[in-house]
Amino acid sequence: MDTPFDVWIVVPAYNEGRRLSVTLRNLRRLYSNIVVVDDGSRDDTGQFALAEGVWVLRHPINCGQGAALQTGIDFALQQGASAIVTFDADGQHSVDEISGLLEPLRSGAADVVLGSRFLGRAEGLPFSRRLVLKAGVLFTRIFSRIRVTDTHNGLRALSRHAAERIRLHENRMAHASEILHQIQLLRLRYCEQPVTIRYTAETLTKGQSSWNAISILSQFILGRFVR
Amino acid sequence: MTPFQIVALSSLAALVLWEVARLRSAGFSGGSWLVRIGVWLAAAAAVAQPQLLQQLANLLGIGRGTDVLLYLLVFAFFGTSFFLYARTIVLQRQLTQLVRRYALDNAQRRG
Repeated sequence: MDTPFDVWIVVPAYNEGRRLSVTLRNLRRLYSNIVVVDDGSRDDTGQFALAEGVWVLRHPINCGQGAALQTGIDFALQQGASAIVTFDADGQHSVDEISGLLEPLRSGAADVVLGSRFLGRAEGLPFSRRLVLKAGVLFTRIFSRIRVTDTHNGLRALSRHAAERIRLHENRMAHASEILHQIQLLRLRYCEQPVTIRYTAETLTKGQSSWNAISILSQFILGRFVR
Repeated sequence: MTPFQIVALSSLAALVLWEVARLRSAGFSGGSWLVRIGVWLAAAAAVAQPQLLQQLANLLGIGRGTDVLLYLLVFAFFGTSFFLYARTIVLQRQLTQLVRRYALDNAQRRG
């Protein structure tokens, strides 16, 4: 269980249904501070989360994963979190890898620890998806001048210091690029940790289509011009 | 004067009058009213004297008056699109703040 180093796990969820219960049960084995942000789901995602005894915040309308993450981060900060871990609801991340992500935060070596499936393992990752993710890495290196090996990984850990400074404005999927952009802009110390991502037929159907990358890219670029 | 000119010019005159009446009650603050009245007057001039647009085209080396109009419309289209896009993003961010406030105020945990 948690030490005085207060770790909060933020799980954004949209129409995850029963699948969320499995993810939450796994998380509960090791962590007690968990907040699910039900992003306007049309199914009973919120009820499944409540049944697992975790904190549940509900967006009355669907705002997007970026917005849900920011809501969860705000809540965790209110509760006095020392570190915040973002974790996908669909069970593609491994709970056992969270402690590795927290280590650089505990020792004070980094403000942000990013999970990387390309340093670790990506099981069942289709070739087309790999190509799009690699293009994302290249784009991020050019646009945000930040050298990372994986740009759209939902598993990451933020120190309180970092979470208080990063502010997500991109409601939808462009938030992953936005976090990296802000890390560079705010001169936060970051490092990457190898993680394993398990793709299943289900996560691939629900997840982003490769074509969405184009729309994410345009959202990110156009979003820069609006203040 | 052609029937089209009569209809178009009376509509434009009505728009200018409506704009002026609105400004008299709301006050002449900001500069956007000048732009709007300017657009109506320019449109009226182009309808009343079509050769003006042709002269402008010759001056700019574009060729035909209709091409000047086409270029202006293209610029206006992109300008308006971006303006509306920006407005939508701002509204979306405001809405998100409201949704977030609601979610934070109504946090629940069972047991």
